[in-house]
Amino acid sequence: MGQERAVHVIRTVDLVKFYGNVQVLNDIDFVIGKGERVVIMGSSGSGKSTFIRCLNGLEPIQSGNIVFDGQDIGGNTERQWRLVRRRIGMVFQNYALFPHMNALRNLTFAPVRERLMTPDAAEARALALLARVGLADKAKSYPAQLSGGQQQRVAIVRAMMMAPEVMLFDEPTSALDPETVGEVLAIIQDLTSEGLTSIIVTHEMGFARQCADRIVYMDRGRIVEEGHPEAFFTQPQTDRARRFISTHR
Amino acid sequence: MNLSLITQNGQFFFHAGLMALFIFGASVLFTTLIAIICGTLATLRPAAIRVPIRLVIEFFRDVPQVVSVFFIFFGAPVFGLQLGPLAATILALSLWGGANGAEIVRGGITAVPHHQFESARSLGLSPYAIFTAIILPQALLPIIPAYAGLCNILMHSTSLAALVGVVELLKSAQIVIDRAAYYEGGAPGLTVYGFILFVYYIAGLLMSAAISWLEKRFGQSRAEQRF
Repeated sequence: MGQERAVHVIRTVDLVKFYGNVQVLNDIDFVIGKGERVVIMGSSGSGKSTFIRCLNGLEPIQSGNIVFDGQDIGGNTERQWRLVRRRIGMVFQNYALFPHMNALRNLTFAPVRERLMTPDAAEARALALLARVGLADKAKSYPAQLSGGQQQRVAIVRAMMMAPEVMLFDEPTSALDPETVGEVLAIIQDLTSEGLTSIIVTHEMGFARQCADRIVYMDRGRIVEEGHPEAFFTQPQTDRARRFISTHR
Repeated sequence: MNLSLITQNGQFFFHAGLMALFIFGASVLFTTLIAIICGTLATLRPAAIRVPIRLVIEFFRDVPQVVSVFFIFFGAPVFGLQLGPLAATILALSLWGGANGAEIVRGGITAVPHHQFESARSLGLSPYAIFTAIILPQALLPIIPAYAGLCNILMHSTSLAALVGVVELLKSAQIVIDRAAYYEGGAPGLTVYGFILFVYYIAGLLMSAAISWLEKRFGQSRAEQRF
């Protein structure tokens, strides 16, 4: 197990998830190694967002295992999940910044409140992160004063405040104007280029092809196909993947 | 018009006014506590908590305040509770206000977008921190006007205390009128009730001013934030 622990950051075994009577995830076996960038693709309703939301406990699972850093966290209580979530950052489609707090406080609030950082240390790190995504001058701005792209950049660095080991991106550019998609993707690429393990759910083919170490293609709650981006985009193995690629070009 | 009736009884009216103010203040305080606690519980998922709370809320909203005051004043001893008229009135108004306030608070909380809960959870915040620092501030700002309306009704309702014998504004007016009519004759009703009406009017004006100040204050900060 020791060796596996070094290789796999997250592994799921036979993950099963129901919404009521509807099975949305069907025996998902998935592995991501340290520093790996995996892009999950699939049409809407394929279960890709649900899947990554299971990985930080936002969605409860019905059976199967989620192994994170060598420990099975699938059966965690909400209290245990809280500790896991400090180590797994998540970015949402609709930014989900806190509207009553300015950008700086959006970043510092959780680590300070949970006593993981002193206010001074949190502020210093927050300002550095904001500067890194080109928003040094927006620290005092409220979310509503920022554009969609700027809000999403704040949301990304907010999720990185506690130096997570894994980042989950749930369609981070789907709510953005076409002009700002590029800037956000560039930021994601930059921030994850230094070996930050990340799972990105996106429809952006160009980004997936350029940045992903591996593509995972899901359909109707199953992983149908996975492989290197070049192979996936040029020679998809399944009809469904082929159709998906041709319609999303 | 015999205004000396008012000036002669100035101190009496003043104490009655303070009593009305006390009933109002205490009712608003307990109303707010009940509203926030029950309004929050009513948004929880487990039906075992949510359903009874909503039934109780519905009950106290549907009963007229007068009935509630009488029921609690005369009914409390049956349940082994000795409540004076003042305590009974405050309890009745607080239960009515709390039930209506809980509905307002519940509406405010359910109006907060679901992604706010999720992103707060994903940051590893405790449920208590999520509720008090993320959800409640966003839920309370938009409900200020509705809540102000509730407080306005509570202010009017302090006069119900007169029905069980608390000497607040309305009761003091009745006492002064009875006394003047007995000793001096005539019809002092118009003067005294006119004065009481004027006092309620001034109190209402002050409250409206306080609320619009609050709204302007939040309105300004909201304009800055544009959220």
